[in-house]
Amino acid sequence: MQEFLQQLINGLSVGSIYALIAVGYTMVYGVLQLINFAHGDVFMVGAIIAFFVGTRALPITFPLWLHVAILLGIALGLTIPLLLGYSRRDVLRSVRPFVILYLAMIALEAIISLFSRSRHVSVSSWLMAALAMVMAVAACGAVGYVIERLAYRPLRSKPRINSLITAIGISLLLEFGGQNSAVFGPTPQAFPNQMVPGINEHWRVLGVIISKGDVLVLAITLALMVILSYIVLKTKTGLALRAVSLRFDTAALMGINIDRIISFTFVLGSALAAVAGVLYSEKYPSVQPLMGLLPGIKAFVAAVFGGIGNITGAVVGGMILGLVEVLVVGYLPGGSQYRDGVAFVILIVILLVKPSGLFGKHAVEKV
Amino acid sequence: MQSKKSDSSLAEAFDATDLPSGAGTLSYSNLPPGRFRFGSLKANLPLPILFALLIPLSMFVESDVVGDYYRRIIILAGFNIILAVSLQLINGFSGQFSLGHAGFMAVGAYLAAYPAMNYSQHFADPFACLLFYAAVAIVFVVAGTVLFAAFLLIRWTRKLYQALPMILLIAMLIWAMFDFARASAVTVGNPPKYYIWWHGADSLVRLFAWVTTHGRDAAAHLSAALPTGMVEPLSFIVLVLGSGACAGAVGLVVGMPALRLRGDYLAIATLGFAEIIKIIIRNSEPLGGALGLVGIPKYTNFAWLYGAALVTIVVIWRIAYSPRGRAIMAVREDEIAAAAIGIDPTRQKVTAFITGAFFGGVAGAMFAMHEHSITPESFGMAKSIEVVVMVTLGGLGSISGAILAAIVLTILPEFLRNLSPTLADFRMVIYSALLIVMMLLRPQGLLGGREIWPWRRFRNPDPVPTEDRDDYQGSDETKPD
Amino acid sequence: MRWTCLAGLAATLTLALAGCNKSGSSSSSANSNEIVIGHVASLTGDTATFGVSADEGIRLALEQINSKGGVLGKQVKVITEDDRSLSDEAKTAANKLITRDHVCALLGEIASSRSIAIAPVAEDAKIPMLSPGSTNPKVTQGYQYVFRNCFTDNFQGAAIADFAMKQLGFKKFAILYPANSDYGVGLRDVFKKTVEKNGGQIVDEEAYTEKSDVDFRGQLTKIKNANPQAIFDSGYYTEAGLIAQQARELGITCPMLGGDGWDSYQTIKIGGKAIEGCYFSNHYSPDENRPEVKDFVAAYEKKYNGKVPDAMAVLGYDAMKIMADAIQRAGSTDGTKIRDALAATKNFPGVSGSTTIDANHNARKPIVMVKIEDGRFKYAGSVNPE
Repeated sequence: MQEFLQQLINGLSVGSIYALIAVGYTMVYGVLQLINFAHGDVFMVGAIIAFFVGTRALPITFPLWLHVAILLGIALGLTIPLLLGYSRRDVLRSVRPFVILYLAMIALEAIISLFSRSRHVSVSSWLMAALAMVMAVAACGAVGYVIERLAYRPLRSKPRINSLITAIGISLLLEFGGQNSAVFGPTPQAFPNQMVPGINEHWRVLGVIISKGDVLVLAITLALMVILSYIVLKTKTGLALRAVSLRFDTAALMGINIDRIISFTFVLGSALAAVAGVLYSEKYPSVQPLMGLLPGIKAFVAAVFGGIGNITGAVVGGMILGLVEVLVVGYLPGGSQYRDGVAFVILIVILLVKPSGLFGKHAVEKV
Repeated sequence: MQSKKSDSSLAEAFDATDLPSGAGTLSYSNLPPGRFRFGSLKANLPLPILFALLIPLSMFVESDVVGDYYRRIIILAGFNIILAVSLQLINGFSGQFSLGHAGFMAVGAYLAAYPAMNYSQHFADPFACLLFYAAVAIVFVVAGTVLFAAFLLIRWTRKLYQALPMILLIAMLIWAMFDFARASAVTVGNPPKYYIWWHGADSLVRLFAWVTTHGRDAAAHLSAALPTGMVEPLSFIVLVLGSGACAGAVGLVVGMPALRLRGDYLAIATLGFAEIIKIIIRNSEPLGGALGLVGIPKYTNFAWLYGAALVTIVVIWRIAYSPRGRAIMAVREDEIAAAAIGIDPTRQKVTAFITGAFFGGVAGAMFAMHEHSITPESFGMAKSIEVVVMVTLGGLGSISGAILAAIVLTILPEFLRNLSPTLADFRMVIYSALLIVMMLLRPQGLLGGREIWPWRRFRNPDPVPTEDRDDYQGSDETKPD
Repeated sequence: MRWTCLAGLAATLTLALAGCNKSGSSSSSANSNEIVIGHVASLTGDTATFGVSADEGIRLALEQINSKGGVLGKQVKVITEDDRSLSDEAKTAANKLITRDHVCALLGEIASSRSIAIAPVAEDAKIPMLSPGSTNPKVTQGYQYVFRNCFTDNFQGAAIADFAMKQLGFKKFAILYPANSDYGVGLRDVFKKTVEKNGGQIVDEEAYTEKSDVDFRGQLTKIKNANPQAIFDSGYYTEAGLIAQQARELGITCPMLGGDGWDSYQTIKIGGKAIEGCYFSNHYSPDENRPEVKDFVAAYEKKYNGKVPDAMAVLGYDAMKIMADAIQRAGSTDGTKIRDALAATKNFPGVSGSTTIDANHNARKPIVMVKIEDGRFKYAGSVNPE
């Protein structure tokens, strides 16, 4: 019995990661109807950026919490008003002085570090972890924006297969680019998962081991789910998002800037991928350029299983997928060899039986 | 194929002799394809000439002038040509975006390698190979019938309650899994009778073994009766065609569920099938497991490979530019309209899948009998994506485009590797960047929807630009809300 | 218009095919004043550390050989081709080295599955092939021209089992092996047979998929319930650290055992505290007391900026030196003569131990058991071949 409970917990822990990645997938697909093959690789980019931040000693003189606070402040100050519907120009104008101040601060630190040996930050602190997360999210958001701008936007009016092939191309580009020794190299490196103190400890409940890291991932996934649902359902931008996902020519007629909304979706999706990447690397501290391939596909299966376009569905789908996988490994003889096949079998079954997924609505085919 | 009467009427419908006035001002995309006279001398003359050319060409290629390295590139190009052209039928003409072609190749390779190693006695026993395939066919038919009957039964329960089929299907899957789990835990030897699934699988295996052991001797006698010169080529042909047929059967299994899916879903579902095939192969001991099969007798050479490539090209050309091909293309363009004029979409789509899978299996079989060893890893996602890239770069709906792209994409990595040692590091990065650039700059591929020759006759309608399509921007028919 | 397009395309294709001719490797200059040896390695891809380390070891040896005047009075050149950790690419790379670069001998590969793939290529071309690090017995079975300068899994699996049962006193083992790796499966088989022969017990056996699985909790929970005294993981370093971490997290305290696939600094970095106190078998340990080891480590650290050499670097170094020695003894660059000289290698003083090539073209060498302690590899004993 205890073994079964432990396997259940294992399954939920694996599933929560799939859920996190699936949320990003489902968002992009819901708006664009594009399987973003590159999502798994953006996830990998996030993990690698966090790896670089976490393993390089940063030469800063001002306390770390100041940096993180300012960065977070700028980030929130940019996103929240934009979401609430204030015009881009006003928001940028009001944030500008802070950005300039921050850049001046960094420049000052750079100059100081040239002259004196500056204090190097210790690795084990919440702040470091937060900094790594923030940088990863920012970098992935930028990567997502660039990808959308350069590769997906020109193909929006062409048949969908071209976008699919381009997505595959970008995925390959990111993977092979990462494998190049100038960038990261093909060797798996150890991710500094001691950044957050205590994350590797666990609780013992009824003889079952629950790791604190897993609880953190679950908490973040649920929090993100709630935040995203709020954004999509209650804010003006979310309204625009839903309009674009229904019919984008009509949405354009209503005065919605399609390009901006799609870019926003992509940036958001990529940011979610980055969060997933950092948390995944905390759990499985081995980072390498091909790490996003399989989780990306499994997250897609989870998203489809739960109903693509539906955020709750993605989370539930991810959990169930993780559970089934671990139960197959734990209870089927030789099940560990069929582990990867489980995701695909679930995919095929759900596509045959209920293609709209668990939470999706059944689509009516009109002539 | 359709009867002669409807052949001519359908052909009349597509005959390009009456162009609407002002046609010269329209773009190519509005003109229907012309009629290809399959019985004409012009159509049939090139073929024997090409076959005859194969012999001196093969002597040239095998000679020392060309060298091992170039020969290997040419042979790899040959495999890629067969794969690309067969996938063109599925992806290009039938419009079903399949990312699982490597699965068919794997089936063909393994089901040719296994009998080649264990049944054919170094290509001396063609009837034993035939026996193997017959046994496989029997097992497939029996298992297929039982499963199909079960499927129909499950679907019938929909009358009782809407969600019952899904519940039943999942329940049966779980039951089967538990069956296998508990049966293998039983150490005494024969699990009790109620482990139905396990017993079912076991009896299939025993049926297979019975058929093969009892037919072995008869097969050996028959093979001994053949003239000696014929034995080896005949074995090879039996192996290739047999494994192609098996791959075609797998294509049937993959194609049937694919009918309900569209676009992106189909892509991932076919990818899933290919991965499942790979995992099954990787976990089956008789097929070598993760090590793969080592010591496959080698028989493929330039002549056989390019002969098969020619046959593939001819067959797929004739399917594509015939009334059947136009039916397939009609289904691609607008399934409901095609159904409305009397074309059965199910039949056309499944036929495309089976034919494409057959030739994919042929390519796999030749691959296996050229390489000394095969591993499941060679038939993974990367291979599928490679073939899809070839087809798309050549242009969807263009057979000569697929051939061209196959040749170019075989030479390209080697060319980049040799260009400079530092560039070699960046080889794959350049490859993927090229793919993206190609998609951005010329999305219709190298040749668009056209063939190289004849240029004017075979124009396929360009795909309708997406803003004119009803089903793109999330209207209710394809997107669940 | 279309004919110009076609003509342009045909011209490009011909140029491309011709361009597959690397400038400088034309047949004329190849063998006059240099000896060219080829190296097939996985410089990129999943098992890249193996290929990169082996290449570094080979280059170090090359430097030393050339500075002493080369072989047979000529300078030696090594051309390394990357196979991206894929068997098919390895075949193409081997083909290219043999037919385009006209190498007289081949070094490679490290991974057994890729060596198995390129062995027939070398055999057909009658080019002697020396694998620095492939341990699966099938690599040299049945071939005349294929050799290896390391031990085989038959010896390795038995040595690990013997060490665990005799030195560490364990009797109950659990096995966690990568089902999609020939190396892992082969090693597991030998380990299992030896344990059972010596009266031990395998309480549980679980599989995982190498290079794609990162979560082993399902398997480890089952293993924990079976209560072994040690867990044997016959896979590569890419998973060893993760497995150890997850095992400790689940409350498994027994030590882990591994094969030479664990040899990489990544094992310690990823495994961290979890992998302390675990053992694995290797070809050498950097803190061994022999003078050859000390010299080699010093030279390697000097050339590669303080990097500590791993076993693949050592094996690559030894392989290069053995090959050079064989060519010197053969007195020519003829494949058959080099093959005969390789087969006659006796007691060659390699960094990884005194190497003798036996009748099966395998090396009879001692195995070093390494213990991971204080974040470093520490020498924990040797097992000699009988």
